Amino acid sequence: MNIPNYDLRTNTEFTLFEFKSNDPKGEIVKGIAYSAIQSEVLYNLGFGDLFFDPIKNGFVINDLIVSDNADRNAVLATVAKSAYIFTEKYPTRSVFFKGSTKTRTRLYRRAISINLKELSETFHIFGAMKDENGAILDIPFDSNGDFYGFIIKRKLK
Amino acid sequence: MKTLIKNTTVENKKAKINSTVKVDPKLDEIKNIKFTSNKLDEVNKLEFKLTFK
Repeated sequence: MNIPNYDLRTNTEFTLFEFKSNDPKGEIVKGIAYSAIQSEVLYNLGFGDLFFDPIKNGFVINDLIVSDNADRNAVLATVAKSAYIFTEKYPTRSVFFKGSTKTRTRLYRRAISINLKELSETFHIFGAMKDENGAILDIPFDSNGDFYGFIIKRKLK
Repeated sequence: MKTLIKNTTVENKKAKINSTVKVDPKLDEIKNIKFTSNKLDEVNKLEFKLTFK
């Protein structure tokens, strides 16, 4: 990718990634997790600030926090890089993602739109929309689409 | 467990084009990670009718 991004660490299954966002405000540990949705072929991508919660006695990704750091593009590029790595490891797995708010979902749509040409070299990109019964359908990505979320599927060589 | 992150060193803290990816088995110790939002629970309840066309 042609956007600066951060060094990543991953677990041996490539389902959890960690990196450190860094800007003048300080360093923030970020986590990216790929979680199976209903089956082993569709995974949810979730990311945010990674921390240990002593009450829950486990690690938590705060996907609601607004870090307000000046490195948003680098963070998003790092998350995108993890998607390249995850789907390279598991080419038959598709990835679903949406923002934790509508504003964030629109931000992701904008980021996809700006980088659509490059992303399309590797991925089939779909918008996720709900039908009248609330089921999720995949339709071709449209920069103006009002999507519930997004689905990417690696193009098989 | 909770010191898992603090003990980690990052080779280069600046964002860059040629960033690295390192497999770190220490991260395998993090299981059943939770999210602050209920997004994953919400998504898990959905029915996906995907055609990829």
